[in-house]
Amino acid sequence: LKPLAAKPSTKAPSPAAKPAARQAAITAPPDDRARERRRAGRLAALFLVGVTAWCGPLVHVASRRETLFGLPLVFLYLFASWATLIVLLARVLREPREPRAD
Amino acid sequence: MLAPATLVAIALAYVGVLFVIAWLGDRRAAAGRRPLAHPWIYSLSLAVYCTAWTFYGSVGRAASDGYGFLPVYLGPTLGCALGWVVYRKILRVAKAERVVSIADFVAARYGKSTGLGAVTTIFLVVGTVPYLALQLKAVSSSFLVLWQETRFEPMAADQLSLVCAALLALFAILFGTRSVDLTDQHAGLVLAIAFESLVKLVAFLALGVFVVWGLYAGPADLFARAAERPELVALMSRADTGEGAWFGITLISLFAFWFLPRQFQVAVVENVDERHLRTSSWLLPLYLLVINAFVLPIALAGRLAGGNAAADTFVLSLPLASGHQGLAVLVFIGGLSAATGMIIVESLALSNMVANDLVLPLLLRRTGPEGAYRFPLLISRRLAIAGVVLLGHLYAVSVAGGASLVTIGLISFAALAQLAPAVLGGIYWAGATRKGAFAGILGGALVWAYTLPLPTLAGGPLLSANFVEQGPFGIDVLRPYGLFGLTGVDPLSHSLLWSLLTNLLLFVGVSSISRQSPVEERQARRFVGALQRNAVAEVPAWRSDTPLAAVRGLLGRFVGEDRADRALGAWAEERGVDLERERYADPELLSFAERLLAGTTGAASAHVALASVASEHVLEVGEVVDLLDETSRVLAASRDLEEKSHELEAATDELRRVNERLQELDRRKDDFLSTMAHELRTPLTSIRAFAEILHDNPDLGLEKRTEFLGIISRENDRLTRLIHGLLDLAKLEADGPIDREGAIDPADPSRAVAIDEVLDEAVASTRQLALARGIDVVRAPHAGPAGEGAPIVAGDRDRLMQVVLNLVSNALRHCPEQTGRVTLHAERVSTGVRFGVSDNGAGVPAAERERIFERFRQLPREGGVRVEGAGLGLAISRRIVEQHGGRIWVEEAAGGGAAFLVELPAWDLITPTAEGPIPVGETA
Repeated sequence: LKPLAAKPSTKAPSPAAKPAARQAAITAPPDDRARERRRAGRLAALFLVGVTAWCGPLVHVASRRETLFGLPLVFLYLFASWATLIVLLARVLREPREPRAD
Repeated sequence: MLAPATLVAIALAYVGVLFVIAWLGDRRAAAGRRPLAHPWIYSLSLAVYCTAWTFYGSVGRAASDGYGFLPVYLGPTLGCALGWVVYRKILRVAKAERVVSIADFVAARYGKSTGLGAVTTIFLVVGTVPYLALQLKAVSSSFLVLWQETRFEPMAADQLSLVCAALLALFAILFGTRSVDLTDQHAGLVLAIAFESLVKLVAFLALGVFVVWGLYAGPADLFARAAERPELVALMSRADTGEGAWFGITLISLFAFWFLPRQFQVAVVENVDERHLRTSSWLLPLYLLVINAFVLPIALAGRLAGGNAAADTFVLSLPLASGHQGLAVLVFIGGLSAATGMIIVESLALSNMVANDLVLPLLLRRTGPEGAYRFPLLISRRLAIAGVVLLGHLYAVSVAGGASLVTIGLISFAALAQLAPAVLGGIYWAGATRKGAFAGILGGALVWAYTLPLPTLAGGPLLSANFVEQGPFGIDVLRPYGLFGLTGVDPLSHSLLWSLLTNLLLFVGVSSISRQSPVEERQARRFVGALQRNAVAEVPAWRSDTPLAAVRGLLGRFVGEDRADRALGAWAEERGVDLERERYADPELLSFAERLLAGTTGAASAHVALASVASEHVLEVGEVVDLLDETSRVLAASRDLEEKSHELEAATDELRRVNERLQELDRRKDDFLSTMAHELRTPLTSIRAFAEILHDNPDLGLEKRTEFLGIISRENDRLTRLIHGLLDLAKLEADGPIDREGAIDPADPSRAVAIDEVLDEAVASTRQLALARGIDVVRAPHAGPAGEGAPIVAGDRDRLMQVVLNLVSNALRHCPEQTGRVTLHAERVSTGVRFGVSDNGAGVPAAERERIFERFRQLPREGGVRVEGAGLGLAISRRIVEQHGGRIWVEEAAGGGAAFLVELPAWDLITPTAEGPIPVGETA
């Protein structure tokens, strides 16, 4: 008989492997906490999108003499990106729908 | 033509409408309706951000600088993106602490410090009064523009400004100082502000539509006309403008949107529902976008129209030039609304700070609460409003000269940015200290003052013009626009860079080396942990030996008897306490009283006032120990839990391993059984077949009969060997390893086995048999140096003999007849005793060297014939060797063939006392 000991299993993740994750699962926040955290992440992302769109090289690139639909390119770029950001903000900040009755 | 009197009457009528709206709003609020319940009203009131600067100044800036006006509105949009995350925390803290102004917020966070509150207030007044003055100036100059057109003798601008100031101060006093408790919302005032936001939006949009579609045939036409003028092409395309202060303005506009006194007033103090922030975070940016969409077109149209009108008044001169007086009046009212909204809220916010953070602390320090009460807060606030507005008026008529609306506004914004480290650090960094905040704000403010507003005074009576060019006293590195040689940056970015750097460095640096007082520490915890659900258990802030009557008296004087009684009653009811029976106020009640006071006097003054009747709680050693005990108990409990969880995990792991091992064993058992059944059946089948032949053919010849019986006998032998082998193996499997510690008694010489003897015996017993087949079995001499210790091992002599015999007979079977040679050898090695049996047969292929030790594993001989033997010998041998704590393996022998080697622990290494230790180096 071959010795049977210490043959590390690769199947089925060992429960000892991730005590931190398990801990987190135990104290997992209820739905609304998780949703708020997701929302905060998205808002931070939108903030960064705004910073990138207006304070980075992009606005410089758009600063050209060409026009589009009769409007200066940079005019269109600034106001269109602004409007897009507002729409996204409104979407992310929408009131949560009433929980389904079940 | 509009007579001046008509215009004044229109303006007065407009302000009258504001009074009516505010009055109606307050009445509704008094009737228990909630006029501020709708989030759109909150969002519109936030648009007080858009002042005369937006209304007149943006167009002026766009006319000379293209898109330079825009970052002022992109910044707040970014601020709104973070509003729900960052500003909500500020809002939450402010509500919990009953904070009534931004200065109060800073003071409350940093240990309810009166000094910090006072410094912040002074700085904010200095930083924003010019901005307020500019609004007054904008109103009076808009009057003048309209009058110039009507060719009437203009009333003096100074008088106009004064009338405006007086009216607006009256409005702020009437609707902003109705209640002594500042956390009460001023519903009427906020409604009026929201209405003003609507008016200025409508007025500006009307003008925009008129310019784009009335004067021109749509935006494409306007832009195409402008494109014919080279100097306007650059404005439109932004191609020739550098980045300039674009980034810096975006940043300070964000901070200004959060921390401007008037923004804090409408966004935090007047907020009735935290969720309104959710709507305002997209509605306000939308408002800003809409009101800014026509700025550039109007500016271009103004430039195209030529004329000598100042760019700041394009919005008025454009409709007037084309004869649309009605529109001009509408725009005038829009500008009026933008300016008045700002003046009202700003003066209200500033007056609250001045009254609470400057005047009241002074009174408290000088005369105690008695004296402070003699100078009622409401009076103090009303005077402060009048004072602030008057200050603005004086600034407007005396100092504010050529600087444009936007320049002064931006200087003000840069001042506001100095609050950012202290406020944001205050809600996210518990380690920020009062001294750090003090140093940061003071340092930042000084650098700001030196690099922005001071140079604007150069060339005046106070400062020589050389100040800007050559630095003070000709010191070049101190030039206010090129501090320490930093040049090539616009003055705003330059100032921001130095002031914010100084501010941040001092804030973080001093915070790191200074310590917090207990009050600071408590406030830091409350502010930083504001969004957490469970408040940390707190050390009581006050001692419980304060007479209740004294607290009641103090509250009654500052907050009013009725209000104090109601608040205390509600508090007692909630807690189930009968206040009539209590003689002393407990610490919780004192903390409640402090917060109640704070809503009226601000946190710092509330603390001072309460401290005049109650004594602050000082932590004593015993309490600290108790606290630590509690904490360590909780910690220990959580540690226990964690340990238990780890133990469980370990147990689960162990169980899983055992289960896997059991399954493996089960599988091996099945394999073994099927193989064994097969092995047993082969000889049985053979025996049975030949027995049947013999049985069925009685007349078989003797020769054949003898041959068949011989086969039956051989197969029978094989069967017997097989069964013996299996029994052996089964017995070995049943035994555990020989316990070397216990089973081998060093004093029991019978356990010491001399390998030499075993090998000699094996040679003797097999030699004759082998010689019959022409195979020679010999002993090789010791390989090691002479005189070394004899190879002696600990163990069971019979078992080891069995191993050697197995190996020899195995070798014999694989040796060629006549030329075969089997060699036995043994020697000491550093790790123990090694012995082996080599042959000159075909050898074992490398791939098979591990597997031949498995049961029933046999090497096919040439031609695929199975060799005689049960296929168990090597399995048994390995088992025995392992039980002795050794190992067995096969190598290629020196002259080809196989060399089976066994290594066992030496007797003297296990039991050093038996023969004395043998140094390893010598024996190797």
